[in-house]
Amino acid sequence: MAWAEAVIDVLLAGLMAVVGLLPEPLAEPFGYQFMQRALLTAIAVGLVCGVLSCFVVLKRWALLGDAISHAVLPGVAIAYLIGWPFFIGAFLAGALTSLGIGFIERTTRLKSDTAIGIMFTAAFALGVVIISQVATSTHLMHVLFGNVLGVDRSALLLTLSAGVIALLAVALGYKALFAYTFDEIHARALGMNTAVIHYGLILLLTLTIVASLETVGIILVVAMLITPGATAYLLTDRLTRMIVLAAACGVIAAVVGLYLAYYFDVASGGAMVLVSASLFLLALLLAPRHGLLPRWVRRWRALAAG
Amino acid sequence: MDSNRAIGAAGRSGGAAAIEAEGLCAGYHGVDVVADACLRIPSGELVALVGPNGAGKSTLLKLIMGLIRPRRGKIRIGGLAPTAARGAGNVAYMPQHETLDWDFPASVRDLVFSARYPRLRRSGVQRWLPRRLLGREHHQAVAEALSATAMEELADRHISELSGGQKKRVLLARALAQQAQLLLLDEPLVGVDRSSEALIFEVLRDLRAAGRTVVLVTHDIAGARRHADRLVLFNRSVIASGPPEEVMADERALLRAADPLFARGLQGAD
Repeated sequence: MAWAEAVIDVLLAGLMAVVGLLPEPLAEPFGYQFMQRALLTAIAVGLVCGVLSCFVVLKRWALLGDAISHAVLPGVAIAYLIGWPFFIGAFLAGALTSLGIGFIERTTRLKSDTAIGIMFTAAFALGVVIISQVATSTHLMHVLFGNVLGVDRSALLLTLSAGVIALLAVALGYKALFAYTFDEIHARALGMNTAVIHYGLILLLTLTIVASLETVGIILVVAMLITPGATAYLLTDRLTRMIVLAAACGVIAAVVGLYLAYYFDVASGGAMVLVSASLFLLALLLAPRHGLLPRWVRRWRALAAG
Repeated sequence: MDSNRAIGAAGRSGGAAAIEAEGLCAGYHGVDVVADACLRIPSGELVALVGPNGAGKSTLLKLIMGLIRPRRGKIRIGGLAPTAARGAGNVAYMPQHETLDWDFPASVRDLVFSARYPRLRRSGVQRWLPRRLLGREHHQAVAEALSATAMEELADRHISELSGGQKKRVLLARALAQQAQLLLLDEPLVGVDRSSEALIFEVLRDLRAAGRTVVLVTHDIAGARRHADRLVLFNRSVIASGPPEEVMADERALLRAADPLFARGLQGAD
């Protein structure tokens, strides 16, 4: 793992070189090591969540994302009990839950929203019960809401690896993801194995959620997997641009949220999600083609002209 | 026209018909929607598949694409199992446009390009590369498909800005860009104005001239009669299959193919 440590050191050094160019008040917090780690983690989380949020929005998977993120809790708890790294437990729990949802959908007449509702509340309840037995409420709060200021080097490494995997998968599999997201039947007609794409995308979501746990926490991670994509969707009509814009929204939300958490001593996850929601509000009002104000102006002009 | 019949005949003697089905049964939840269907389509024909609503036409298309498995019977596409033919990119499919989300962030060109995937997969690393770095043959196939459907000028439009007829033409262009041997078109003429319809039939005739097989599901019996080489009447199974004039002359088959309303429609089309 020495090379991984070296990679982190290089990334941190590069990041600090950039931060050094900022005006003093903005650069000041990053004199602390923990803030440097927090910044790198926030950027990684914002970037990956932003990219994946496009597919969550276009596939209408908002509820599924919410479900997977909640379902991760018992995995964390059980891993804690038996002394495994918590991300393995979280990943298994998330993957099992999404398989369970698919199973209920296929074998009963229940529709997906009901299947999702049943599975994730059950998994979340199991997590709450286990944690109430074994851990203090501080632990629970930490998992539920995250704390980017407390990210250590191993968590940073995990987030970065998950991020690299997710970004590589989206970049290399872009054509398949495009076809699958727009027209699943046609993707199958093209000879794609859509089951692999479907579960592959769910695995990427799970991986991203696990990687974001320490930063924004279980409850709020889904916001980072919906809002940036929704913001970008209002701003453009091309998928590649939507992905870039969503990634930018995610990074801006994460970094500005980190500043707010530092200066005002508020919960980092909450701050990030609020910034993200504010960006969405701006896009909703001002987006050139799909925003409300430009639309009103166009209508008013048409009335005035007619 | 005669030469295309010759291609069909060659297909017959070579044994690899475009579609060959025997005793095909398939359905959902234990109810057969397709029951004991037998069909043989030689390659190089323009075929109209006609039948009333609920006759199982969509299920038949899914069987041809290998998206569902027959409960009984055999089906071969160009001599291959349907899943193998589909996996090789030999089967292009044009869905009805109402089933798609036209707010999806994509341009006309993006959509047509997606059909190059089966070819890209066979050209090694290209399947992983961004579009700019792809070989010229892919860009050319897309350009040709856009030009054949008169969509070049709209190539950089967002897909939500298209009219109904233009949406049909994009989906047809996407099917063309795949360069498949067999094309399945689900109701390509519904909601299409006259000029688009003429253009679509022109494209289909060109495909036939190139030796491709085209199967279109349609309610437009008059059009099918004018343009198709073969009319297949379908109502849970194949009632009649042959040259349109022959099939239309067989009144017993028409009645058997149809629920009463549909039969009246057929007579109206005469």
